[in-house]
Amino acid sequence: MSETVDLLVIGNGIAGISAALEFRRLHPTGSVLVVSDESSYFYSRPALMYVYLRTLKLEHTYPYEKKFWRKQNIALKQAKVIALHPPQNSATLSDGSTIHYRYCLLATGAIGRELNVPGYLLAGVQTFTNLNDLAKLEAATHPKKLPRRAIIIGGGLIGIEVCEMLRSRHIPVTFLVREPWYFPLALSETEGRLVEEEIRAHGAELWLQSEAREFQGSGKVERVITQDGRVIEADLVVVTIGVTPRIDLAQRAALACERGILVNEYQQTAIENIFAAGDCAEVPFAGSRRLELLWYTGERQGKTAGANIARLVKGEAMQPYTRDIWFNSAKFFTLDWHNYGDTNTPVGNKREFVFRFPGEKKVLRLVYGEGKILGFSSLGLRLRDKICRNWIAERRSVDYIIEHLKEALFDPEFFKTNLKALQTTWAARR
Amino acid sequence: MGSPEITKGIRARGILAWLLAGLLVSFYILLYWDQELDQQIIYDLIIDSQIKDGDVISPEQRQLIKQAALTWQRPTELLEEYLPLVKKIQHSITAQSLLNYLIRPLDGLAQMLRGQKADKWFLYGFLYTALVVLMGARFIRKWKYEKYQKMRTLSVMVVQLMLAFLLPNLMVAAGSKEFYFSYFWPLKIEYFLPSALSELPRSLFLWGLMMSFVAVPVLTYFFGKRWYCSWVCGCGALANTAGDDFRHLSNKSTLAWQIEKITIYTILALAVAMTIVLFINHYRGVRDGFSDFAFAVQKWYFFFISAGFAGVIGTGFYPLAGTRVWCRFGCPQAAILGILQVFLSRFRITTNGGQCISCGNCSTYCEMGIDVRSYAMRGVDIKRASCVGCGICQAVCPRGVLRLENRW
Repeated sequence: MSETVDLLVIGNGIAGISAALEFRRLHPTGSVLVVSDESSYFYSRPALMYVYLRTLKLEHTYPYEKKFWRKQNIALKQAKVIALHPPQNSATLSDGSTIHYRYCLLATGAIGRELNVPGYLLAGVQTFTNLNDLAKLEAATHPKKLPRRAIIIGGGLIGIEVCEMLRSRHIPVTFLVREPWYFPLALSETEGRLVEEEIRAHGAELWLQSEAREFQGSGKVERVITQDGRVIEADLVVVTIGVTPRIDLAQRAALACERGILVNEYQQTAIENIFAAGDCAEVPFAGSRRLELLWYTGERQGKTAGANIARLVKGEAMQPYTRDIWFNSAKFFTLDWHNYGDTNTPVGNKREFVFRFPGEKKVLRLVYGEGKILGFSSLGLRLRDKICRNWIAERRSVDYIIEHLKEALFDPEFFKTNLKALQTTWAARR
Repeated sequence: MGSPEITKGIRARGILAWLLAGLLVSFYILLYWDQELDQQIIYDLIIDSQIKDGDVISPEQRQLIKQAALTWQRPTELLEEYLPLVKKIQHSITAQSLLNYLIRPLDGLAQMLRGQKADKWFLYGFLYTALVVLMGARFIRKWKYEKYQKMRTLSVMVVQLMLAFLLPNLMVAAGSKEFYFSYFWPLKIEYFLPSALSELPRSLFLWGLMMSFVAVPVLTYFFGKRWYCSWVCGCGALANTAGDDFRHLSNKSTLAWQIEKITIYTILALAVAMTIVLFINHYRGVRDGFSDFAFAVQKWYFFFISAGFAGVIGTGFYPLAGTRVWCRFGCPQAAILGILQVFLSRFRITTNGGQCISCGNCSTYCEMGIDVRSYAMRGVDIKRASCVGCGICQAVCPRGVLRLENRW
């Protein structure tokens, strides 16, 4: 069985789907096939935790109605791509079919990173990034047979989600975090401490500066030994130390890869009709390269790739991937977190103003250089995207921002924030 | 959060949900079955209705029918053709006597508030208010960190208790006509019909008129539809308190949206047309074919729309079709508020740039079946006629993407 398409998209996550839709928008007649080994429909990966929490069913996480794909004339197929043959412009699928393509987009995403310690392969040790992981976790935490204790290793955005999930079933949790405070990659110490309070308030044991040395058990994990020799009895270990791009298919097709699949500024790999986008792609950045592992970057890279493929088909010039002002968001139990611009720990001329609202679970952090704003990080309160990004683009002074902060708040009506306290502290500090 | 699971049982159209829907629908059917309470009166009424065109039932047969209907035993002499009549009387009586078990205990309360024995409408008002208040308290506890939710729920609880329960009953006790200050034409359509001119005190008639034609546009301009649907209205109050566990069951398909646009504006047109027809009839002041038609329209509107749609389907189907079926597909007041909301209001739901992760919490928990996510994903503000501004989307969004706002 063999089929020919204009665009073959491998992976139906946010990057692959954004590419397919952008291609369709610019090229209404080109044929598109999206293949995924994970799910028959595009679902929202960050919503997996809500499926576990039972506040959503899997269908609720499908952003488009099923008939949408027919209307868009985008074919979907659930199968694994076993091999990609760039010289023949074809791919072999697990269902035995061969797809011939004019253009191919690799949007294979990433999977949970493995922890290199003895016992990692024991049953009961898992990551949490996809439907397969969800099914495993469901089996391991069936309400009728809950584990005695679960251990989460690695404190990032996924770790705290898994913590919330497990605590929703009242499973005792020990949370091992290597760093001195929670998520220093993105949070200041003040913010990290607030998140720690939240984790502990929800009944999890949080061990900072702790790492696992070994997992032990006969066939199935029974205990974890930490670097400092402590022993924790547990039947479930969830490793959340980040993700690693899925590049095995690309590597076997002899595409150049480092940590991810190498692409140029057009999301194009070394082979000109093969593109890559999203978590699996390593993109040029400031004279070097980097992975961008966010939902939003996956969407933007996917769009760029889809548009460029459509442009090539139509004989037009490609346009490079552009980054807008950086933003991200998350939720730590009940705490909203919004992030705009450059909020990295200040070095050199950069400074930061961190304010924890007295008596409240709210922190606002402003990063600035030479008195001009560079970035916002808000925990426990929501900020308005448009205003924050405008202020960064306009290089507004911190004085101006503190005075006009009310305009940037995005919390629901009746939600009070004590801006006076913040303004007084800022004035006193100067 | 209580029991958040939506994958099984009563919250997932399981067997319990069907049973509850059956119970609610039965209750409504009992409620609307007949106007009278006394078995003898029911009997007389139904018997009288049989006497037409000279087809008089003989006194002997009437006695037999009565004996059969009220003693539940069929006398042998009873003619076969009267059996359906006996059945009809028995059904009415059964319905009433079932409700009576619930009505009688409320006599004391009714006497105190209303100065009269309780009737089935007092029972209905009592149960309705109790559900709004008790389940409202539960809802406030569930959303204790969301001030908007607490404020609007407190508002509907107070309005239901004071304006829709205590005050109308106290008015009756004071010898006045019962009046609901929180409902206006065209939802409470009888407040702007010719009958209101004769039956209502002039001041109350004017209050209703002022609310319908001045307060509705002005308040909707400033606050959107929500000032009424989520802060005042009793239908919304019940949906958002007692019905809260079923809000995710609303249909989100684009097909449902198409159907909604047809049905709600059809009912608005019917309500307006009926009002016009009745006023024309009133000023013609003659009894003829047209007046028969006018009263037939009124009768069927009350039967199908007010009782059947708003009551039986609107509330009875909570566990199967979600909570705001009437508000979304039927309510003519909501239709007017919705048109104002889209074309003449400062209200919208603002979306926060590109922060949406398409998780689907907003769409799933939208009781009006709005696919909120489809707007949030594109970063487009939401201005939809059906949005009642309950604010649950902004509360369940895990990325702080949505905000209800009254702004330019």
